[in-house]
Amino acid sequence: MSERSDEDAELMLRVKRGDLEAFEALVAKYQQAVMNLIYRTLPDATEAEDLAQAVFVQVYKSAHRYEVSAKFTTWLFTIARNLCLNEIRRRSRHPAESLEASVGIEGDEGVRQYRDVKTYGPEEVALQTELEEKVREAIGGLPETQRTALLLCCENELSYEDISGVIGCSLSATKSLIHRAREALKLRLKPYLKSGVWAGREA
Amino acid sequence: MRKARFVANDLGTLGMKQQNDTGGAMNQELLERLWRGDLTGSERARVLSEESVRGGGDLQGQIEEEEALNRLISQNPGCPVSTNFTSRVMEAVRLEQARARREARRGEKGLWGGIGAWLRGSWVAQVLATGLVVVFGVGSMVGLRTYERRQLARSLEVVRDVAALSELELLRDFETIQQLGRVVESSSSMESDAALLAALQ
Repeated sequence: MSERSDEDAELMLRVKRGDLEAFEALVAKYQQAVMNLIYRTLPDATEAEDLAQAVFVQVYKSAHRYEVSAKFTTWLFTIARNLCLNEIRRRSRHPAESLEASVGIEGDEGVRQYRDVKTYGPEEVALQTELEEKVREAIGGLPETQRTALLLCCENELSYEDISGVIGCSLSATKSLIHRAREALKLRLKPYLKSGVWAGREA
Repeated sequence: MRKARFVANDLGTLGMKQQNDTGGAMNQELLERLWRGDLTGSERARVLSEESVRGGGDLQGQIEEEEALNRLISQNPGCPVSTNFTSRVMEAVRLEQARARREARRGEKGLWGGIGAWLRGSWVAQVLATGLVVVFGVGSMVGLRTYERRQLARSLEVVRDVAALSELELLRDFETIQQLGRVVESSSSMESDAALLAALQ
């Protein structure tokens, strides 16, 4: 992890000097992580991608302010989270329903984000789809701070200190957020945790 | 409420140095490592064997539950990024660069642009500019006060001159007296007598 952060810091220093290739490498490396974080907050693929693009543009614009003392991922996810919160605030001021969201209501929402499941039988695929839907709903139903803390911990493997830096609260409060998020998920996903549906996928 | 009965020397590698009294069955540090999926297979096996020796309850069940949740979270797919995402970002960055260059050029144009750029670029310049504005403001106020005082002094002088004048009754025949004075100055002949008479009339 520290090697990775050193590498990121090195790339970021190059970006600071105006090296676009270094920036491209950072975008390629973190685009999926940023996209996932945003998508869990704003479940609209197109808007999430636009926002992810805005995050990286913001990173480039703020590159001159980057200090090596700050870990790149903490900095990146803080920018991503702030833009998400701005977008949520903007939406609450000017509520509008996106076309993609309304299409999703009719039944084929999120088809594009599912993994390739062609190696499984129809029953397994149906089960898989249901499970993915339930997990997404459960994660989406968490309060924003809990969700962000949980995803940064489980998906992006940030240290608890880094997560607290992104969320902007103390270490103990961060751990408490993750704990509460996990307890809520365990409660909501209890039948799926016991069924071991995912074991088949791992094999 | 059950307490996890971990012994410090047995679980040193996991950093578990005290018993868990928080009410949960699992040591907090073990729990945090499980959240992150950091617990290796051998560590897990050792923790479980230690627990079974001590006649622990459902620690295995809890560990399995945490691990199952980790799997659910990590295997739940996110949203795939478009294949052209990086090129779109790079295009946006190039546009941003071009815009910044245009703004910089616009800023550099002309004396005011140069001054503006200088002011934006240096805090010393900002302090100097603020100082200049303050000095100019104070100078203007002092100048205005001085001007007002001078005007007041002039008005007082006029009032003083008017106050020094004779009474208005005496001024009523001012023109006549003036003409008499001229007549006296001009000559003392018959003409002057006639003029004096005219003046008196």
